[in-house]
Amino acid sequence: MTDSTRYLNALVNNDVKTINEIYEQFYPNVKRYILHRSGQEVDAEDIFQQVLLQISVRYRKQKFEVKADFGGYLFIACANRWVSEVKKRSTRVTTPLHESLKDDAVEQSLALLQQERWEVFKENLDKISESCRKVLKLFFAKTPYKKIVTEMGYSSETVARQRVFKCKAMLTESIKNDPRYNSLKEL
Amino acid sequence: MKEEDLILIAKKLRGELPEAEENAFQQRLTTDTEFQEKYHFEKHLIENLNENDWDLTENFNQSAMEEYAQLYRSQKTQELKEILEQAKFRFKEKELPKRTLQWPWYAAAAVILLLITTIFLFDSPRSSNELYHAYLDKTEIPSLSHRGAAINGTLTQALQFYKEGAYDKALPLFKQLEGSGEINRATLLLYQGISEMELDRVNEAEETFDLLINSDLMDASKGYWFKALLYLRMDKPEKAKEILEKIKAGSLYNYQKAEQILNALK
Repeated sequence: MTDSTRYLNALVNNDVKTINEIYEQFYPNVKRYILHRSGQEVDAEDIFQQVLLQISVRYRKQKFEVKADFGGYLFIACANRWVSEVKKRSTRVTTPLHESLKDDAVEQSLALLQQERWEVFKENLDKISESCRKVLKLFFAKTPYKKIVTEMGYSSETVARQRVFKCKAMLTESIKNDPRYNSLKEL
Repeated sequence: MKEEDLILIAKKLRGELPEAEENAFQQRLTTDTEFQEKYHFEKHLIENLNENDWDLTENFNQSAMEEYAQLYRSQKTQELKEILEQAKFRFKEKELPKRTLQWPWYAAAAVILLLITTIFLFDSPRSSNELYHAYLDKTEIPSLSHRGAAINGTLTQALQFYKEGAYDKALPLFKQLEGSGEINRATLLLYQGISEMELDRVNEAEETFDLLINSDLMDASKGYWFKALLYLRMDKPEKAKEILEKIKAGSLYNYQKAEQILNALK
């Protein structure tokens, strides 16, 4: 049994000893990341717990394999959850109160589905060619075209725009053909 | 879909759509289904694949959502919640001995806290300017040298000037770096805004912090904190209070300090 499977099984079987081990092994990194990105210790604790719950619920619904190591997978899920939380907090100031009063189980399920959707997008981005991936990453990061030209060694902004257009079309097709993308969508 | 439409959508999502075209764009969104669908998909792309963003859209398959919600409510998940809570405390307890070794630092921090509290209790209300100096920590901005950004000569020089308090020399360099797109933009805007604030170029500082606040950068909320400090420096406590209340209500960056200042301004 791989380490990842051992940790996943521990989460669905409520195995106290291994769960303590998960805390000791992986929490410090997550905490460091969140503190570095404007969070407080209590935020790190909440995010870590929510993501472990998320993983257990997901694994219980359908068993899955962790391609990288469990620590890396957990860290990325926590980082995503924190980015999501920061975005929510920054919009919450103007959000009507009733919108933040969702049932916790519903709130957590939405976060889980958002993570699944992110994985579909990310995995499809990883499937396309390296040069396409590179130019699209710059584009999605809202890098000015002028900068994309120098970074990618293109001859002009027109070439950069055409390249982004083509690569984005390939990525779009790949995502739309992914059965997971369609099954996640509202019917 | 026509290439021009895709360019138009990309402009909108990158914040490059001229204001004059905004109305026509919104009109098109409400009348053209294909255009609307494409716009939403492109938005998904950016929000999912920009490392500093997140897609909060909730248009999910209802049955998948209900299935997950039920699993969340199940006995097994509730038990796991308890176990995780215990694991957290167990971990914190284990961490404790390490922390007690640092007692001189904690004692020092306690003394400082006591001093600050005493000052606020017996000498309040504090002047805006005093609060500004008490709470402005110019070293709290994260380093610019992480996340793979190459440290170039300009950056090293800018940071050196900033460290020495030579803000007039640091400022043009930070502005120059901001356009390069190589370095974390939120952090750069903070360095830029603080330099402007310290040089009393208050209108420019206000614009810089607003730029950060209105951006979709991960650290956008830090702009509120520094804008509040700017108003304290300008001796506009009422405006500072408005922002501090916002920070407190939204648990934004430094919300505990915001609460302390609000108490001191009462």
